[in-house]
Amino acid sequence: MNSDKAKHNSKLDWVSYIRQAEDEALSKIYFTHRKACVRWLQSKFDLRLDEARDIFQMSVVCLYDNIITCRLDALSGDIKSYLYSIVRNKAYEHQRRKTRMTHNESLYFSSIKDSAYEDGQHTEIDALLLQHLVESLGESCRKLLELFYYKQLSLDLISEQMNYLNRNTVKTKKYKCIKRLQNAYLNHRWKDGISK
Amino acid sequence: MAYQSEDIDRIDEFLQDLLSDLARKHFIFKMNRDEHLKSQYQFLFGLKSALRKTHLNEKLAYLQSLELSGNKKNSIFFQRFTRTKNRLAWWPDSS
Repeated sequence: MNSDKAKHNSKLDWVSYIRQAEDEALSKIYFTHRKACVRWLQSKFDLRLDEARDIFQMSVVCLYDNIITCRLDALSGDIKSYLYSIVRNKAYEHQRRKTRMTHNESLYFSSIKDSAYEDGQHTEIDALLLQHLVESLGESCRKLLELFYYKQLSLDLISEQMNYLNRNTVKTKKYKCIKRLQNAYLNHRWKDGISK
Repeated sequence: MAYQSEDIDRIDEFLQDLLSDLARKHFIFKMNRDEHLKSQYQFLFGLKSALRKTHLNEKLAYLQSLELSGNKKNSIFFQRFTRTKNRLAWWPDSS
């Protein structure tokens, strides 16, 4: 029975599955691999249970991110090998940080850059401010911008998913959301400039 | 500084690697000389980064809720959930 299940899982097109039913696919990956992977992390890297769990959870989310942002279009091996390669990298990363930092400063973030285009500290502050401002736009704007800019869905697909009349409605709505956001952003930056 | 839809679209194409080599070089050349375009770029880059981080934090919270649902009786997981959720704000570029 278990080997049938394993065979089925290895044949699954995980990339499409995650893109189509992300939460269902993620929970399947999570519960299939969590126990063994956490145990493996604890024994191979001498980690506490909570550290091993943190690393495993981060790794599943990184796998998801790689698929959604199209860094990974197809798996050459099975999902388990790919997941374990991320987990291994995260564990090494964690160990490197652990030797440099005290536990309180710990884990994964500090001077992590978002991409090769990032303009250092300035963009990091912008991202934090925008994270806050996007939240204040309301759910429909946030969702629309997320589908367009993070998941890179077409206007037609967004119109389908969000029940808009057509792509033009989405385009207009996106324009309005961006405009509101940019006004709020500029206002904030301007006030910030004044206060300095 | 007014919102310019064409700028935003162009910047988005740049960020998504949709421009040809020549168009890409031209874009960088223009951005280095145009403060307005540069600030539009910073805005859009910041926005994309913010959306990604917010979304990934939500996914992490979802995985943690799965952990919680399997361990409702064990209160240490509730403590860990809050601690980790508050701690995570940034995501690395790749793994």
